[in-house]
Amino acid sequence: MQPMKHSRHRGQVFALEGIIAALVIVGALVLGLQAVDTAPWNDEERERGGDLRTELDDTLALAEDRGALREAVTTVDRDGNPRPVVPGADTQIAFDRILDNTTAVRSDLRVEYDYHSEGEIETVAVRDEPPSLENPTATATRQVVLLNNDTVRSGPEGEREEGTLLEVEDHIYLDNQAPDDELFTVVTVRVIAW
Amino acid sequence: MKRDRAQLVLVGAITVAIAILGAVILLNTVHSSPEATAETDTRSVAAAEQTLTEIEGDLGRIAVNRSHEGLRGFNFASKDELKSNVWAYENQSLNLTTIDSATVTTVEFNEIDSTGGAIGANESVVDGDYTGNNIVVEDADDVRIFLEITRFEDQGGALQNIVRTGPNTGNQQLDVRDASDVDVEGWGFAGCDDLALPIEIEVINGQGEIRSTDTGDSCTGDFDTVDNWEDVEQISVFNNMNIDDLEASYEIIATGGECGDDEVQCFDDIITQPAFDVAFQNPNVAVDSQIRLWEDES
Repeated sequence: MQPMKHSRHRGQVFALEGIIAALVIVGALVLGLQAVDTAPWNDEERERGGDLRTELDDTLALAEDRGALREAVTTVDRDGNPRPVVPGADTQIAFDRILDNTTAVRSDLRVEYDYHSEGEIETVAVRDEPPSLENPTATATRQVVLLNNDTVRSGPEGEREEGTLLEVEDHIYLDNQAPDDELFTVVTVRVIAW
Repeated sequence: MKRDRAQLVLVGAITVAIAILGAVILLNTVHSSPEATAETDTRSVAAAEQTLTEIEGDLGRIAVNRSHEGLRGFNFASKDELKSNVWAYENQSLNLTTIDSATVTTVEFNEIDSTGGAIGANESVVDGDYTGNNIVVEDADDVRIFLEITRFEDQGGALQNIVRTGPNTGNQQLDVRDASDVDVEGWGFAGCDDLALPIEIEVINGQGEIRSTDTGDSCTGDFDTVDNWEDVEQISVFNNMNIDDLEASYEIIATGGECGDDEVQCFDDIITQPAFDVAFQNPNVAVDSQIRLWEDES
């Protein structure tokens, strides 16, 4: 009977040790996990997307302050269509240079204009690069108000004045949306980066 | 046998520990959801602020009157043009905005909260239409005056006067004299001598300066002698020239005032400080705001 009793007591000691060991392990794990920041799996990409969006917003704000957006949407090619934005070209207007010189240009860009035409909203891409499916994208938009007496330009660097919007409205891609008012139309400039 | 049982208990305890570990990790991932929501809300507020700033800039461009394009003075709006242009702007802008996002923006001209007045303006004060003393505006709460003289021939004496009449001070006049080197006297501008043409004179309720636009010379004068500008009975334009050798323009905006004599060009019913009600709403934030233009000019 004595050995039997001794063995039983020993088993209880082992169980007690096991429980204490478990408590120590659990305690250590819980304490250790307090210091762990389990962010979402795609946090880095989301952060990069946020940075990109901020850069794009700042870039467009800068371009708007300098009047570069208005100049861009009112600069046309020989057919009266919006002038393409060519990265790194020798002949650039202010908007091209701003896009090239800002941090955002380190990414690939797509630049689009939305405008009203014959009751519909048309979208034209003036800088069209194939989008990446791997990198996060960011989009920023600005609206540009155009008035009747805003100047339409053409030429490689937009140096040639064609006349006011009201004067050349039949020869350019923009339609006069308020013929009785000073307002000519509103154009949305959208830049998508990735 | 007993030893094996104790090991079994130990394995069970470790299993429990791993289960707790998994639960803690899951709880931590759940914790990230409110952060994402907060970020979206913050971005929405930023978008609302940015949109309101853009709208204020657009309205400033739309609202300014174009019928006096040659003048480079102060901003003002024509009430009828303003209503029509703002309505067109809202329609155009709203259509485009809804393409990209679930955002609705409305802009409405608030006539009640806007401040009206009168503007007298002429691109050439001696174009043969009138000479002598002519009342431009009357009964103004505040007065902004912009006078530009680019060329004139000296015929002796004061060539161009702007006369302010107040209830306590009587007539006080601003005189522009001499052809080759311009002198300006009155309204505390004593000492502004020998300025090269062209010159610009900008005065807002008795405060302002005279600039020689080519040389950059300017004079601000001592305005302590000018008081009670908040209650102006009349602003008159006077010239004693009967020739066409003066090239000048003036712009006098009287907030709360009205036009004087019929002989001078003047428009009642203008808006000197337009107000607009703007509402911005998207799924995360709704902002109602009022935008007032050109308040800092008075």
